Amino acid sequence: MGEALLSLLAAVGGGEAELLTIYYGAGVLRGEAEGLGERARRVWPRLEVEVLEGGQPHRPIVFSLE
Amino acid sequence: MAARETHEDRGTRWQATELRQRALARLRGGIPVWGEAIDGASLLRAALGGQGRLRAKRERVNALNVFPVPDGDTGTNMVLTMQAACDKARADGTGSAAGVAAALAQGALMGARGNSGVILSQLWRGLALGLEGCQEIRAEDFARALRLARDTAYQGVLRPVEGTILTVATDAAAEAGAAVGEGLISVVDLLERVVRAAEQSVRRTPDLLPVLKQAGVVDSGGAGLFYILEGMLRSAYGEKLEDDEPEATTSPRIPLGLLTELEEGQDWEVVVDIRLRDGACTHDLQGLLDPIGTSLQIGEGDGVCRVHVHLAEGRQYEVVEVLRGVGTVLRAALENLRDQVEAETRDAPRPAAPARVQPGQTAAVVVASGEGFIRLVTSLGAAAVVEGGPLMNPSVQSILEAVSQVPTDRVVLLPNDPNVLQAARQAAQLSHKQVAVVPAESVPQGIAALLALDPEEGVEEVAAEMAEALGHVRTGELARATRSVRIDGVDVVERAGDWNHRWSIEVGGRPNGRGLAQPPGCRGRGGG
Repeated sequence: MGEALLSLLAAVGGGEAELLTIYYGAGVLRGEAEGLGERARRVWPRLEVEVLEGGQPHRPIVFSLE
Repeated sequence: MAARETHEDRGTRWQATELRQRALARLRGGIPVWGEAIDGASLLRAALGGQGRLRAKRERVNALNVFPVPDGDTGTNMVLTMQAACDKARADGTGSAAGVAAALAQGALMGARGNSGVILSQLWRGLALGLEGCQEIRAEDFARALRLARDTAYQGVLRPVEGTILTVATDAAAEAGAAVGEGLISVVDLLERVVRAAEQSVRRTPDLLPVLKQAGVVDSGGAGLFYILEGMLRSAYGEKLEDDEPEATTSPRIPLGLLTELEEGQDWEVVVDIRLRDGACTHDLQGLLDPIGTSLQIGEGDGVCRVHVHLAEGRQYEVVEVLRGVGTVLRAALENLRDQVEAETRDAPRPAAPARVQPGQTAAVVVASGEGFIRLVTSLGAAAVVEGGPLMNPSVQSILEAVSQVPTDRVVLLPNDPNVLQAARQAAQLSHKQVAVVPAESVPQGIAALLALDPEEGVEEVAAEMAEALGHVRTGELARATRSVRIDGVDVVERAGDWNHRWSIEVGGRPNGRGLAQPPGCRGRGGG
């Protein structure tokens, strides 16, 4: 999941964004989602990362970049 | 690694049409129950036949999904739309063919779900327009109505795309026109030619729409329309309906302070990956865990099972102990749910109710699913939430009800999913209120839009500011791959049991329900 998220973030310009918000879905643990946020922060140290519960079905992770 | 499915594989599966052709020939050997013209009662039976046939093929239509993620719900959306149409026509009672067609159209319009359902409802609307004044339907009436159905559906779409249900409707109408031009007068024979033309048209959709060819599928909406027409033809031969059980539909929910409390015995969530010993099965896991925990979920792939279970304080360590008896525990994770809930309630008290709106103010009606998302949009000022999203597209009616319920005449609608957009637009048109649809394609985009909500401003101003806010947000999502495929140069691999690879990158966002391809290299969704 981490690899997929990082490559998707890179593809949509994670490096230029200031804020990444990760919304984790039903069936994903908060800890898992925070782990993903931590990995993104390691790749882009200036990126501010927020992890929120979305609770959405069918989509383990939904994110936004601003 | 799972074998990659190629265009040929899936295409051939649709192209294996001999069975369908034989079924049609068998039908032709029979004696149609229709005469030269059909009355209102026969039209209703035909619509029910179409619904039944589509329902029987629903999973097949759902599987015709461009992106290998769980959002293939075209079949379900079209079945639910047909069901709403037939329910309305049955409730109104049968009279003239025109009356039944009008009732079918009215029902479809309100019950439409997903973009394919909205287009289907427009087809019915056009068909009803074409049948106005008809006591019975003759071949030339049917051909004229199919043409109008096709035209109405095209008009309802901002940017019509070929290789979709629209193309199939065009080809069906053209064939009907040609048949009548050749002097054909039997409405059954006409319908049969229409069904054959639709079948071939579906088969050609990948040639017209590259993204279908790339994914190795035919267009799902077009296939759905074919099955409806085929079911109508079967009904013309008096074939018994395959299935006419009404389906449970979800109703809109307007949350009033969702609960954050945990139920008894749900203090911990434990997730364990376990490789089962020879001879052990998931049934054994259930037998071991049922007595100690609740909310048990077991997933399986490649001999590895993932177990989710909720437990009361003090029992959280028992899971690994009892599971050791049936296999090798590979990984275990514990999470204290009670502490989380307490922290969340402390940090972010959930608002008691959606935002109160005064008459004259502009209210936001938002489509979202997931407790966290619903809580968020509510706290950001949504006046009503329609529950829905991927795989659970709300009907036009449920959106319309939410719009009617907010105590103001000024409403902005946030569909938050590309496949809800058309239904939101249809609801906006049907509403007597002043409604603007802001085309947010995901809930995070909807959240960005809500931040721009000023209830004191007019609908147009709010909509313009929200649309601008959307532009600053890019969104993306991860979903588990449902099959292996290569799209836009990215291999998506579905591998059971290998968690790092069970997630697909959703390339280019979802198609907007009509299979629009995003340019290669443009991934993720949103602007900015």
